[in-house]
Amino acid sequence: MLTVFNFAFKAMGSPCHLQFYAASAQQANGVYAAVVARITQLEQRYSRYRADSLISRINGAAGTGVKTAIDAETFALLQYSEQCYQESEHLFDVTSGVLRGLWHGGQTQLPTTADIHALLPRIGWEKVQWSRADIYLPLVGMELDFGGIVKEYAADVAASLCQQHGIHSGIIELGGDVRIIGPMPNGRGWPVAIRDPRHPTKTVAQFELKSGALASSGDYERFQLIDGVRYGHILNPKTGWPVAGLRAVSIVADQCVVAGSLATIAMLKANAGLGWLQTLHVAFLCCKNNGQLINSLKMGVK
Amino acid sequence: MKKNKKHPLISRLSLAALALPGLMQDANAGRVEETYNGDFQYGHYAEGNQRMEVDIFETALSAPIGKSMTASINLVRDVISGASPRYNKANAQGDVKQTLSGASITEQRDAISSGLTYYFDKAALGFGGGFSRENDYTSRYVSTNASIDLNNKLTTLNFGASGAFDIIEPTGREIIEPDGTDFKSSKLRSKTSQQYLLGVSQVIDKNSLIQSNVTFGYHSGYLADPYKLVYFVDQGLNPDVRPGEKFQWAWLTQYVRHFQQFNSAALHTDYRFYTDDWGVNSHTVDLSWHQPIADGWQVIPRFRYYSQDKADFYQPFFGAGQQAQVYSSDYRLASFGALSGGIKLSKEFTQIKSLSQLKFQAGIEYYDHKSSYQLGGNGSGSFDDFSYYLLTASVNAKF
Amino acid sequence: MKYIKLALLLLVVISSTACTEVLPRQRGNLALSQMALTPDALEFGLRQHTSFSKEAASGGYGGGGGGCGCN
Repeated sequence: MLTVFNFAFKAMGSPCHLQFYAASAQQANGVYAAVVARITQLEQRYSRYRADSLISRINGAAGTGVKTAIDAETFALLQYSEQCYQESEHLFDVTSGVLRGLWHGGQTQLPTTADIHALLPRIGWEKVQWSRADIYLPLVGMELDFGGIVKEYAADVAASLCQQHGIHSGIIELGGDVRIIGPMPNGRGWPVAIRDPRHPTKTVAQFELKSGALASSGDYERFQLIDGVRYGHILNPKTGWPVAGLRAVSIVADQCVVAGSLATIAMLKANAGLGWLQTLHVAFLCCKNNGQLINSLKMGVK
Repeated sequence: MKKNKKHPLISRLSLAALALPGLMQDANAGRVEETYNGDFQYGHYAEGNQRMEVDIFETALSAPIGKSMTASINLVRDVISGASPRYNKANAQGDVKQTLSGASITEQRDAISSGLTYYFDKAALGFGGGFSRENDYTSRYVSTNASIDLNNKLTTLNFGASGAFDIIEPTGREIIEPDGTDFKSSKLRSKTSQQYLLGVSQVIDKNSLIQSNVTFGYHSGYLADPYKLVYFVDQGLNPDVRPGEKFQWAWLTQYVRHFQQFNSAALHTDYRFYTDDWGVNSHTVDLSWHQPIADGWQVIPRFRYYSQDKADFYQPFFGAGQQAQVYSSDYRLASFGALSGGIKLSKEFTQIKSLSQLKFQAGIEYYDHKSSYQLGGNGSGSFDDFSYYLLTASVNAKF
Repeated sequence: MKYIKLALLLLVVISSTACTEVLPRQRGNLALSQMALTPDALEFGLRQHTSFSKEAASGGYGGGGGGCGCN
């Protein structure tokens, strides 16, 4: 007899939820422990905030002439980053994180053009030297940041892990990014809601998801208000400025990591993002800066 | 959500994502696309000068069985009418004239074949067989092939073997063959064929791939054509007599290249060298350009050049005092070249009701066989020259 | 028989030179239908059958088929 199990935990700086049907509490706890262990491992390896993480070691070696050895998983993430870079006209750039030094939370003044121009040379995925065996950031102060990829990837990994443990009905959510493990035992999808980017207590869309993933990107998570203007955390690597044009984008795709990068690329494309999404024929929900909602989910969603 | 055809960008991102460890595609990993495929094709083949005409009707179906198998079945009906060359005669001035079969033949060929392919993680194994029936010809064949992916699926090795057993039973006549110094006749004769393939395909870079195959064929039994005759100036008409064995080798290289800057057009180039122990060497070059336009339209121009030199025992006719053990005047064993060119239009619709894809195609090809087109030679004489055109129209549905 | 040796030698050369690594992420273009080695199997079969019955050369491509009494 299957019973639903619910786990709430914190990982990658976000509240997370794992919900699935299992035959026994013992099985459920085993699966939960495996999922948390795997996510923790990813966090330890790829968090910028941990001095001992692989990312911190790579960033620490920038410009020193020392290459950092990488494993197959990191290599695959680099390949994926490369693909995103190519597909986004170089807007999705995992080296753009250095800009956060200027746009960190809590500042009250806009950075100066000179500040921004001083940082721009340290950005550029094409400068990164990487191979299957190692990686090297050639300039002092360059930084690698998988922030826009790893959380979504972790959701995908967690879902496969559950499937490998015999879980066929379930859903995992890591800080708003959702991946379906499998439909509910009655064959129906899991109810999923998207919040209003400006009013987190209200939902703007609700639907059922049977398979695949939903990921979002927007200016609602982390932002600063400076002189009454909202500056989001999604930064254009070419201009150094936060992007403006769309408030939030949510995408449904087979994999959470793909949904997440599509959403981020759409945000980065700013005013051109909506048109770009429409040509892709993906299921999306997009909130423009004027509050207008464009919802293609109804046609696409299960 | 129905698994609709994805935008190439999404497919590329998904492919990159699937390279991440521990990521699997929603419980449908494996190479078999879980789609049912139905095809219908009509072809009209017509040779110039009121020679042969063939109408071809073909249906093909393929369906997944479980997660890692695909089964397919293929039915063909050819309706053939017209005349074909029988022998050549020389007049007093030495000019060669071709004589066609007198009565117009109308006959039908029906063929059925089916296959089963099993996909492993890094390999595939296929088996197939078929049966083809005409009123004077029956063919049965079996085949097997295997492919193995190496080197992160950048390299694929292909192996194949097939065998065929054919029975020839001419209508309204007997098969005449030499028997010592005399001739013997029989109602039916048979031949067996086998072919082996060894090939490798290699992804060169993100825009190109190459495949190279070597095939070896061996045929034995009655390899002549019971309807063909050979004119000897001294003796008159004799039956077509060929060796009882044939060894063939072919080496094919195919190169396919993608051109992003031309709206994802693809260039296909094939080159084949062929040689057999009857003395025929041949070169074939086949080029096609697949140009996507917009809204699922594609235009595909094609060009092909073929050249062969004659079999050792071929002559248009045999002159006074000429003797031979084996001899043929079949135009297919002569020296000649052929130029052909064609164009095909294709239109693809996606997401129509329950169908995930519907594709219509129509094409025309013109083929010109001329002795003077032979590479580095002037052929066996222009009396054999002919041309044909081939019209095709097909519909494919995936659901 | 010298052709055979030549063919096998070239086959080996091709497989050993084409070693530029193409990562799975870059194979999107290769997955396009127009990039398949045989984009239209039915038409390919018809064309093969036609040339088989009009020309002496055959083989090279895979998939052994049955013979015919084609004239």
